[in-house]
Amino acid sequence: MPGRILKKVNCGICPSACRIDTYVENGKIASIEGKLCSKGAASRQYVYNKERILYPMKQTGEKGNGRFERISWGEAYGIIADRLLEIRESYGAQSAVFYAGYPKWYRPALLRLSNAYGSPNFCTESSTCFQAAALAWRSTFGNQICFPDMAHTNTLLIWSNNLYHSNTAMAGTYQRLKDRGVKIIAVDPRVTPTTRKADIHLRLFPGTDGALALSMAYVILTEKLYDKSFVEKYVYGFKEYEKYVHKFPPKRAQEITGVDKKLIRKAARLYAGSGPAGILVSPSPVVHHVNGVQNYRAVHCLIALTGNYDTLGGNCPNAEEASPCNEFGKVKRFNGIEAIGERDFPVWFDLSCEEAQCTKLADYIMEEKPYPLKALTGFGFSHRMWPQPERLQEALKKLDFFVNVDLFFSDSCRMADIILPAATSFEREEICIRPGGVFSLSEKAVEPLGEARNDIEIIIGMLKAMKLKDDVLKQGYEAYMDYILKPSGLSLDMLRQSPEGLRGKVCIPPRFRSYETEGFSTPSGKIEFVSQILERYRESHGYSGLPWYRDFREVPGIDRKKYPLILNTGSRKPQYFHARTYRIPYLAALEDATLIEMNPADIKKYGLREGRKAVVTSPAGSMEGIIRSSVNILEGIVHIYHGNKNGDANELLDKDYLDPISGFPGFKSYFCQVEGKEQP
Amino acid sequence: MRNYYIGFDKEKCVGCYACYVICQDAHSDIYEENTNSFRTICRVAEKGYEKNICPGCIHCGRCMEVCPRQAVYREEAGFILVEQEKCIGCKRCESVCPVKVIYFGKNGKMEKCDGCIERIRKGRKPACVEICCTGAVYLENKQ
Repeated sequence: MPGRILKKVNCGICPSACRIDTYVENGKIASIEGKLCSKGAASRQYVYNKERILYPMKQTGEKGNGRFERISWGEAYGIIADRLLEIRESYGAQSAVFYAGYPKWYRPALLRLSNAYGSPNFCTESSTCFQAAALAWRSTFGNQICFPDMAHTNTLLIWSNNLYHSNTAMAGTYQRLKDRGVKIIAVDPRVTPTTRKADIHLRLFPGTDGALALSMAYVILTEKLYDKSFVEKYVYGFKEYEKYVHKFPPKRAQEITGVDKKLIRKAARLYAGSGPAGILVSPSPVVHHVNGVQNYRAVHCLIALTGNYDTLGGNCPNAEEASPCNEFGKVKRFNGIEAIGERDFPVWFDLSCEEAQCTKLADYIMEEKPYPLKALTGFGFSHRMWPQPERLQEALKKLDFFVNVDLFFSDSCRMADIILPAATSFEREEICIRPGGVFSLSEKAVEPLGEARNDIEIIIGMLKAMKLKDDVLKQGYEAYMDYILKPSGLSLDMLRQSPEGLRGKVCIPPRFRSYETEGFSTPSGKIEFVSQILERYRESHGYSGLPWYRDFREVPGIDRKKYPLILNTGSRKPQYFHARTYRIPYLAALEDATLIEMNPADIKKYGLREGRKAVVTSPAGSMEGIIRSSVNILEGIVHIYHGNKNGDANELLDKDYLDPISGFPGFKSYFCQVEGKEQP
Repeated sequence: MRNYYIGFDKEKCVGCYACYVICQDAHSDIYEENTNSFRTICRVAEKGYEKNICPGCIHCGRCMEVCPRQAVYREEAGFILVEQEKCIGCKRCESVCPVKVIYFGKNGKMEKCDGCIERIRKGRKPACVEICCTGAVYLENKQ
């Protein structure tokens, strides 16, 4: 068709970054194709959404009233520079927080801006997602999370990951594993399309993952299925671990987790006995518990216990060819001043992810501890991520200055002094790192709507307006893209010629057993079943170096008669991604929101009715929703997806119900009751 | 003459809604409110498990058989299509549809899956087939 252009764009709605064939006509996205989920399918309603911010705007009158007037980019940069520099002058650079939500592509650039300004407080949404899983891994192995070498694995243990709904495009990979005869063990409280295709489904109570993993270790140890020579040579703290594991025979683990003791034995034997075996973890479900880091450490220890670390088909750091590049994970956070979260969660900083920990942001603003916070420069800042979001929304009012860069006019934008329009992935480029040392380019398919700009150009604009120094960013957007690619031997121009992807000219071949020569980057130089870094804080913070199991049901001060049900929020649904897709008409129409999903036996027990309104109450708050029955849910558990402005499950979470190590809220196991609402 | 069939394997369907949504994207103006997908969402249950699935038109032709005005016809590739000018909105077709995927638009005229016939003529696949990650929605060419 004349005038019809095909562009290759990466979906930016969730981090899976699926490739979308985008057909452009007359400068507009006319149609899209690709192996996508429902969110990606709704891309055109995402881009051309009526809530898109089109121009820079400034708040007129009192914060929160939602009245804004259009200003120019020049005026916006001028106001931002004046206010941020004033605040630095009066209160110090640490009083300004730089925050990155979704997507993630500009994060190193924002960290550079924060560093150049002199603030230690670069934070991201990873304060409640993923980084606790990475922390748990680093405390044990010393490196970045190692994913399973799926191409060669013989048994795959999928720990709390319903990939059909969280990463639908991964369906092909999963089905190929099944076709190859790979045995699958799935751990999940729910029955899901993923657990249905597994050979063994360990259906545990949410939050009891640690007890389950320790009991699998019990079976592996007592039946001598472990890799003795690997453990003797490369594991630190094995004796203490072995002693501790003996507290978790399957009979006891059955009482704690609800999983049949015979099934625990069967799964342990399969994982340890039919190797090579890999564990596919997930970014957040396990760490969204008050014992999340330790629960994940217990899971991760199984990899070393069975000798499945850095071996073909196991969990490996370098199972695929890779090509080096700059920026991602390589920019260090300025740490010359104490950051927020540092006193509360010291291990977050000792095992640095180069971010501050802002899980208690509302407290830090309201209580001015450890020091006053006065400014927030947010990119996609949404208060709905945190427990008790309305409390944070109130706290934002107290800031002297808040600028939010966003795609949509979110509720958080109402609290901003300045809002700036960001471009969607269809309206800008993005360099994508692909497996196998390949880089591809997400092409700019259409011009940005209104005066929207790409995030990195906005960051560079702020940097220049404040006259801050950063040798890399000062070169401008294109030079920055070239800088990212430089170590690979590629350039932005080369990718523009071949957007589908190019293999780096510099490539590092797959490597296994590199620990034999390089050791482990832990204090002991070994895999730490007893983490020396956690042990540092035994006295001050009560941490244990062992993967200690603390049952959330023993948390004191909760009246279980009043709150008999366990609340589990945020388990993925295919059409939602946090708060952002409720505004998309196609997706919002798929089901009622907010659904309170329960087992039919509980619906009967508590006198509720399918489809009727009900109120969920926890010790921290309440919300209204609609009852939905599902046999996929265990009795005693209530599942609610978060982020809906008309009934937000995060209001139910106590702001202090956190994992003391990571600061992650216990989103997946809190307490509640559900009562039917009188019908009008 | 070719004979196409859009198949649906409910075992493979994981209820991701991608086909349901892309059908609307392919057939409606994105700014239009309350659009219909030509696929449907239904809940299927077996012991201890339930899921939503999104079946679509199987082009069986029952709607064509009951139409009093011959508004529904089978085109040469095998798809059942509607000539809206002839439709009187009697809804007999709706009552016999085994998958419940016949809709009536604001003009009162019958609407249904057109097999993305225009896309097929250009060598592309129907939108629902193209997007499906699990192979639950597939295109068969009987010849």
